Amino acid sequence: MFLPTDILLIDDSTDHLILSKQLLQNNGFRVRSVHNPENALQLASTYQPKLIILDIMMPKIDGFAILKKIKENTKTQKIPVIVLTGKTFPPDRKKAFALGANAFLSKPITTGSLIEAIQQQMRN
Amino acid sequence: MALVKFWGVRGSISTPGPSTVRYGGNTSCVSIEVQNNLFILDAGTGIRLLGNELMRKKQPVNANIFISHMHWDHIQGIPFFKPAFVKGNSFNIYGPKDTEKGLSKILADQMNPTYFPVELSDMGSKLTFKTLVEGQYTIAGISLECLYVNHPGNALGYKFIIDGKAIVYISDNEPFPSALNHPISSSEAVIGEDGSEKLVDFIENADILIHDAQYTWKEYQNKVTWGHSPIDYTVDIGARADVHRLVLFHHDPMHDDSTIDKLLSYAREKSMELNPSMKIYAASEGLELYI
Ligand SMILES: [Zn+2]
Ligand SMILES: [Zn+2]
Repeated sequence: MFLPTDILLIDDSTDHLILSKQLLQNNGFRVRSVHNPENALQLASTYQPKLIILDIMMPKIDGFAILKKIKENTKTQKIPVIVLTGKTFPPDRKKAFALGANAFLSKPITTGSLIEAIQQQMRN
Repeated sequence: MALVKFWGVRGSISTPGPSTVRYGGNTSCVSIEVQNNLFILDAGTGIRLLGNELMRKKQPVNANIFISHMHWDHIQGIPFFKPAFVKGNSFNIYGPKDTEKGLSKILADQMNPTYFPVELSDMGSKLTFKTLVEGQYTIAGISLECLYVNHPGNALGYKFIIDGKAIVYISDNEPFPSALNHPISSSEAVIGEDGSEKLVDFIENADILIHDAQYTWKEYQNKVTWGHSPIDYTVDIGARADVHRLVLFHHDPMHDDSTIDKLLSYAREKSMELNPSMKIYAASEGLELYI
């Protein structure tokens, strides 16, 4: 309503959130982060970010479940989702794409490749 | 554990009378009690009630007082704050840096003999004055972050981190231009800078956000640059920042209890659309919140 959001960052680890958020802000993106992943769907639906970055390795909640909800909900399904994960097993990758992820990146990742992936999704 | 208690919740001027008796008529004052420390946010007329309560306890008082800015409704209670007259008590008084006068001079001026019979320097307790700028501090072992907000003169928002949870106090603040597309109110500290995003970052994931909610959207249209927020904006930034508990604060002197009831329902309805997990309160004298 009042301020557009470019990127919604969903990640329940506070330290990590602050870090990547700062990094994205330094690159000129307006970023909001959600600590409480249960609220992620609501915030995405309300504020319609241009992009969602979702950390799949969240101890308290299953990131895949959130991804599924985002892609099932008519208000959020068009928002591109980049899945960022520490897991590198191919099944995860497959599972993410099957649920509708638009890109899949594994940590550690350089700032350059992350920004590049973001720009690519925003162009699409 | 910390206790946040409201002693004065009214903006601009105190409003005693039967029509404001439920939310209260005293101007800004909130206390935070944590680990035997007492933090007092603003010294409007509400601080008199807090002072009386402290006197009843008959114990020495050493507290930190944080003034958001120097407008009357935030300092007027100091001459009536009894513990400040008691020898042996001590207070650190913090406030934003003012470009012309010092903090102590501003507070002393309102107690010069023309206005009040006792001067600030004769109050009896030990008063120490410290100016703050935007940035991070540790005070009495508690981490504090300060942010310049959009209000005439230099005004600070305060964020205390207690047990990893943030309590944010922004008593007087108007949306920055980019949020609403209008001219900035004349805050020296923020001229030329747009703090919209910074402000939402500042309050992000706060456990408690106490924020200016003085006007309805309609009232605000005639009061742009006065330095206060329409409720719609306050609810929106709270929801956007995923704040857990939002406290509507600095009630307009023209709003009686039933008006505030209606505004509270309006705010709750709005947040149901935006972020239903956010709890909303309208600040009232005596309200206690725990973290
Ligand atoms: Zn005020
Ligand atoms: Zn003011």
